[in-house]
Amino acid sequence: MSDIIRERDFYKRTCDEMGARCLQFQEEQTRVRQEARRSRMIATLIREVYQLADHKVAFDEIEERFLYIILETLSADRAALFRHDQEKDSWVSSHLLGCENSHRTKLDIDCHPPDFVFFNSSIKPDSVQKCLCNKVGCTNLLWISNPDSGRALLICNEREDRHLHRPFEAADREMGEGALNVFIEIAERKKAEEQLKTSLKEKEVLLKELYHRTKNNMQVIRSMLALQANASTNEEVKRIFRDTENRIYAMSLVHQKLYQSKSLSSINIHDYVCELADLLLKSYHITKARVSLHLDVESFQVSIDTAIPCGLILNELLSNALKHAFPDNREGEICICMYKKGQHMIHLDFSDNGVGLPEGFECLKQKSLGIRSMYAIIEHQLQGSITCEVQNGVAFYIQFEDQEQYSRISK
Amino acid sequence: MKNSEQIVAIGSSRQPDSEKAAKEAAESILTQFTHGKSISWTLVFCGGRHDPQVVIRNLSSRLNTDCLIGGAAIGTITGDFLGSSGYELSIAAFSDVIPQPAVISVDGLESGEMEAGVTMGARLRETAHEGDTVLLFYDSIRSSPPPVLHIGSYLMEGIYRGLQGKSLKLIGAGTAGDLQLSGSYIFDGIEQKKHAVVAIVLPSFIESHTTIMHGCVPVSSFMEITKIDGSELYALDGRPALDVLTEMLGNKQAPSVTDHLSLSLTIGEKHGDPFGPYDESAYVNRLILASNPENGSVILFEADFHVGSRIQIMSRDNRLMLESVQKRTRQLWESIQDLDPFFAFYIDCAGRCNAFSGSEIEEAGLVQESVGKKIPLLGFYSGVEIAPCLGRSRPLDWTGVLTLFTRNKELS
Repeated sequence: MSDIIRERDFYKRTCDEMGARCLQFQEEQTRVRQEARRSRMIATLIREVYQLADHKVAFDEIEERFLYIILETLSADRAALFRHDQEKDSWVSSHLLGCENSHRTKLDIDCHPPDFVFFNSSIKPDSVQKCLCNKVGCTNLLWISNPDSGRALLICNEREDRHLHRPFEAADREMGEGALNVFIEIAERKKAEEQLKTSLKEKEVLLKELYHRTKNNMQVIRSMLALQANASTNEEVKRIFRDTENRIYAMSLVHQKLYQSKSLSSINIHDYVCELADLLLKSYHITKARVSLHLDVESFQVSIDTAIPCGLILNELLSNALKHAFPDNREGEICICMYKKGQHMIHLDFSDNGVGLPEGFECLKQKSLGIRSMYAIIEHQLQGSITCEVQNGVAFYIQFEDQEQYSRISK
Repeated sequence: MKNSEQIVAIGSSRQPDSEKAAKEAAESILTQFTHGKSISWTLVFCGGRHDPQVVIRNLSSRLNTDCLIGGAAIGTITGDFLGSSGYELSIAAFSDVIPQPAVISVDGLESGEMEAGVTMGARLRETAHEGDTVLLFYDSIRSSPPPVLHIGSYLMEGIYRGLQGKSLKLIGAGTAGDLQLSGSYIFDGIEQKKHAVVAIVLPSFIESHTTIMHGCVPVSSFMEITKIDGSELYALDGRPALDVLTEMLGNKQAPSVTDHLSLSLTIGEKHGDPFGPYDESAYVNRLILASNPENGSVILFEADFHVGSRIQIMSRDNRLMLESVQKRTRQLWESIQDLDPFFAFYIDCAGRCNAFSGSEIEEAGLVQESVGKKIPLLGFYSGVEIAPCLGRSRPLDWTGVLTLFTRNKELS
């Protein structure tokens, strides 16, 4: 019996000893993992802070977001960012997190701490450490400053007797400096981005204003020409004024479309052509019942450098057709087809089923300002080509490259 | 997360500013409840660094409901959100498909957990139907520092006395706002309260299916408690408890603080056949809150062990913990997925989060993977978990309690 009891006690003892070893092993493993976790923390911290560079994070949010990352990643109780106030020769908090009412509290550190200070309850405090502890009310803290940028970071734990809150030590300098330096770099970049955005916004406003004023000035010129035309009794003079008015309108409509557009540098050609054609019909007092207009214009964006010459060409083609192709109230139709081929080539096909051109008519030998200027625009300004066919009316086939590709902004 | 009928919407925030956090979480809820659905009631869990009054005020006005129930949390968990920084705020809002439940709130835990429990039990007996599921949250911090807890086992004992045999399924938690156990509160549907317990009696057509995740293994033979007073354990096999534990840990000197002790160690009581094979669900584990080197005692989280209780010293095992979560979550899901679960609720011991346990991955992340991607999930890190275990609902330590909710179509 005694052997059985001895055997039982032996196994019990062995069991407890092995259990104790397991427990100690588990304990050791947990500690090692926690230490590894702390090391990973530094990598996580830097990675998280780098994410602040994302354009979605606004400049005025990044201090709070940075401190939040510090608190969450390091499981710290409090964190604060400081700026150096040169006049007061002290560090003044720009943001605090983790303190009660932290968003409304200010801290002023005037004890001139060096670039790196750490403190925990096992250290006998010097005057600077005492000052920092008193200011923040914690006995476990880390202070990192970057005098060049005038920024500093303070991290505090209220307690240090938990696994999560080990005391800060000298080896934490790299972690603190790394985090602060990344933050400073991102903050400066964000600040520059914000300034750039503001400047861009200002320029957009200016550009809009410029387009608006140009369009208004063109409107004034058109009105003056209309008044002059009305004052004249000579029909030829009136015609010349009206032609000029329409040319100016074609250009002013581009400016109107530009300041209404999002990009401020291009307009939708479909909308522009429709509006311009509509106005020209009205201008020549021709109803759509008499001359029907067929528009087959693709919807794509063109730059101001393409839109204005395009508008002038269309103005000439349409004006000529409306003036000459359908005499004696003759009915007919005009077709405008515009499309892109390839990435840059724009095609403009214009045709009417009117009376056609007089026999032996050569466009380039005409004295008419309109036709000559149209050819000049196509061939010289747009570096394009034009062909003319006379068969059941007149057809012009024009092609040129979108001028947008020849950016005026050097990259 | 969208469920076909949008019964539950989950909102979260980790904004450090309490007002902004409430706004962000509420807006997330409102964008999910479209087509004129109104919010019937909400479960709210709020990180300990937030101002609960600001959170409640802002949530109430934005969600247009006063029925906000829950409390402080060490961290929160949803399908795509997990954290324990203290700035988390997570909400589950229930549409009017789930009518506002009966909410019972009882104060006075500081005067006696048992008495408060009896009152709660009596009121539950009047309000709930046999077999109903009841969510129960209590403020687990009596005072701090040093942390002194409200004893959940006394509270539960009181509730069972008050119930007088009525059978209810009680699931819940003792709330805490941080890992230092420095503060806590509950929301009882009207206000934020200290030293109170709140119960939500779910409508009878809601059925709950719970699994308990463990993660401790015994590392000693059986020992007998030879002296204990409430939650203060003095002696094991006639020796000072602290000496026994210190010896197990291989330390020559007794630690002066609790932390060293509580890193890996719990005290477990095995129910059922003591000599049967290892079964994690047969154990009730108790964490150690503090030690007293002067009299050699250790203070446990709960007070449900007695003189003569045969216990074992247990070691927390991270690998076992993760295996337990994987296995039990999968089993639970497979057992009820045909019943069309509409909401998952995870109450997770804060000690299991990897910041504390040192586990390689977040065990709650496994719950997110296997359940949170399929149905709306709300969870939080608690001080104490309450779940049906070994025949009755009891406070548990170092567990994860996952409950999936389904609707009994016949009753609804």
